[in-house]
Amino acid sequence: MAQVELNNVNKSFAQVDVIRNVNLEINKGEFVVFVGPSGCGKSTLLRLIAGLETLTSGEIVIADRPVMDLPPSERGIAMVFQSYALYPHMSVFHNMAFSLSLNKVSKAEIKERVENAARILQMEHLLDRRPAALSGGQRQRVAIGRAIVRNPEVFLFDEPLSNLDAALRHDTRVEIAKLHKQLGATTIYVTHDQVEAMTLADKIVVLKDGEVMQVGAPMELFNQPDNEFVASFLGSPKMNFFDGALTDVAADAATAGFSGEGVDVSGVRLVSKSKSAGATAKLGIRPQHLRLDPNGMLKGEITLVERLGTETVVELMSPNGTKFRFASPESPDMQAGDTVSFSFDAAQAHLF
Amino acid sequence: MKNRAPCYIINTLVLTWDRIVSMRTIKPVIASNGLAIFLTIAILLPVIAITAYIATAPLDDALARLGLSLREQYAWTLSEFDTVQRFSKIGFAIRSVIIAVGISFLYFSISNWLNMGLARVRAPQSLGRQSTIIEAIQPWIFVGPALVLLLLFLLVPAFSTLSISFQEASGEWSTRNYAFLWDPDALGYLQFRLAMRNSLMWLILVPTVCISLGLLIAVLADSVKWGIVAKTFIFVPLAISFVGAAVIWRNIFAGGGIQAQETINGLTPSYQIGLLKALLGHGAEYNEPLYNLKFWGNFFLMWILVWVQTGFAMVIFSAALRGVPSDTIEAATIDGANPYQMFFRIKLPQIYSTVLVVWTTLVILVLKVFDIPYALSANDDDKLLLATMMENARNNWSIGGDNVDNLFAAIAVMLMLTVVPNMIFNAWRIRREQKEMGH
Repeated sequence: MAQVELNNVNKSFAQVDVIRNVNLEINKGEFVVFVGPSGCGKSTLLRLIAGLETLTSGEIVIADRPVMDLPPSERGIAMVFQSYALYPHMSVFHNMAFSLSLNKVSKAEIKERVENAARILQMEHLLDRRPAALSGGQRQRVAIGRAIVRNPEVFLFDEPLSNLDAALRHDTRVEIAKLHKQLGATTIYVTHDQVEAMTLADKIVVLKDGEVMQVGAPMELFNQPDNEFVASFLGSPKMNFFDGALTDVAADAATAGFSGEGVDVSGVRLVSKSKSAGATAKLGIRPQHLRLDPNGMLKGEITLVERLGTETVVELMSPNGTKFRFASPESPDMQAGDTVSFSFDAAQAHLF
Repeated sequence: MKNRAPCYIINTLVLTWDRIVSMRTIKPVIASNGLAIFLTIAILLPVIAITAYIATAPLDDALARLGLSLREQYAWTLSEFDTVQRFSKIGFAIRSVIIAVGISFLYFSISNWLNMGLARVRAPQSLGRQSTIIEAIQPWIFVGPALVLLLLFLLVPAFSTLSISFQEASGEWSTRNYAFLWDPDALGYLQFRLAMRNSLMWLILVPTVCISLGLLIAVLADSVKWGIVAKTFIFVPLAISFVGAAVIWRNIFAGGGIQAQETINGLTPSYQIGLLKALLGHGAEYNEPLYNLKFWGNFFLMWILVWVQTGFAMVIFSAALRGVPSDTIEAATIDGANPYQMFFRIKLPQIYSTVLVVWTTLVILVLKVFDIPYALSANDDDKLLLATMMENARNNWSIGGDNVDNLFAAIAVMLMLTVVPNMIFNAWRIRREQKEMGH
């Protein structure tokens, strides 16, 4: 049963449509990540669910209640903001207790719930401090604590890690994942960072220009992207694309052959089902899925070798002038200027 | 590689020594350069100013002649002597302005030029030392004139007032002036007590009402479309002088009477157009202006100042409220704050320091107010403020005898004392804020 349901949600600011016909179901306890490039409408979508923006048309249902006419405080949500949005004039305790005290919860219960949340986040010693006296990571915890105290149906996170430095971002990411396991609360998380999306999500929603491009489990999106955008957005380094033509399309349009850039393969997963043989197409193959092979069909001249320690990324140029990358966990002996050949497994490639 | 270490140590030692020497020698250089600049300015500028006045004196005569010829041409009834006087005064005013502005320019250009030049002479080898010297003196060149003016016209008078207030006319030290002010049997006691009462009422009420109204309007105006127009109307009175505002409100608070009638205290006939009283339907028989009422009249006088100053508070609060981070407001919306809780628990605490700054500004302004009661001739005993009482004491009290100036000073000191609680509170607040920030 869906905990959050979006039906034909539309939002436009003046003449600009920022959210177009979004339909989405989020199950109880699920961790859903909205991901997409900046300006794709992911934050707006989150704010629509929170009630900070009003819908142009459509329906939002949280825990079986249509919430379009409810104020944010009655929607059963709690939100963690990108800038934390702590109240600078209140101590950590009062920051966390604010929503409860507005709801006339008894002092003893407030104390108990705040202390409980503080214990979960291991910040009991910070309760008397003001936000100005906290570090970025500690403020982040307070912001999360403020959400936990409300005991909401749905947690909303708006790019909560983007203000932290790289090391802290990793730690906090792990903690958020643990916290989700511990609390089991339905969570919607907005980020532009695909690593966060891949590691945290039960379900990723990829957005582009206000439209949902694909919804699915992280590895499903990674292995079976529905379109070129999703294929290139997820994965680092980005997927390589080669121009060419479709050759033999299978009867059920599930697979097809491809010819171009000196490559001739068959039995590749066909994403654009409507295309027929002879149509121009793009072959997508991830840099990690290329194999060094002296007899390989794909040839390229090395332009740059980046050795990252855990991985070596090689930038190449095909004879036709297409740039592509090769990534290997080993550190192959290669130099700029060399020409190398690759082969790949047709099952790991995609045709768009 | 091995014998590098001693090199480093020696190098560091040499550099440190160099720095010590340069610090030791640069301070006297700065001091002597500063003194040289000060002396040059102190001698040169007055000489230039006096020379400029003498050199431009013929301008007055030229203008006087122009005035006489104009008088002849247009057959003015003004006497010849008055014409000459007026036109030569205009000439004097014009050249005073030009000379004053010129001297200010000269002050900055000469002192800056000297500063640069002297530094170049004293440290010809090192650009770094030159700039150290220049930068040490430059701020004083800019702040200097303001400091001198402050000292001359604020600090010196304040301290001399304090010392005069503790003296007899003969110069003997005594506390008799204060004893007199606080002596219930003394003739001026009633006036002093009323002035204290009124001043404190003004000090508490005017800033409080201004701030409350200012906040209210700033918040409400932001939520309606015509808010900008409303804010403009409330801001405009700020551009009106206190006397002007007093005159405007006199017409509203004035005595009643639909028909024209003789004035109460003047020689010229005037029309009583008191708007409020007319609205109440009061006829000519109630011709006492509202601000003349016993005790309650004070509040009508205060209202005039509130009317002028609310715009100031409103504009500052309006800007401060815009500065409240919108995400804290959104967070509070999600937490379930209603508009009142949003204002009192989220917005107001975040602009608290602005409120205190406005409050301090208003308190100081209220202390200076004397013109509103004066313009309305509402300076009888019941409407006295400490500021107006000083003038009263000077003009009317014969009780102090020769001591009148000293008594006058004692009242001024009492006036200063009424701000002390405010100052203490501000100092306490600043210290607490610094403590919270961990300084």
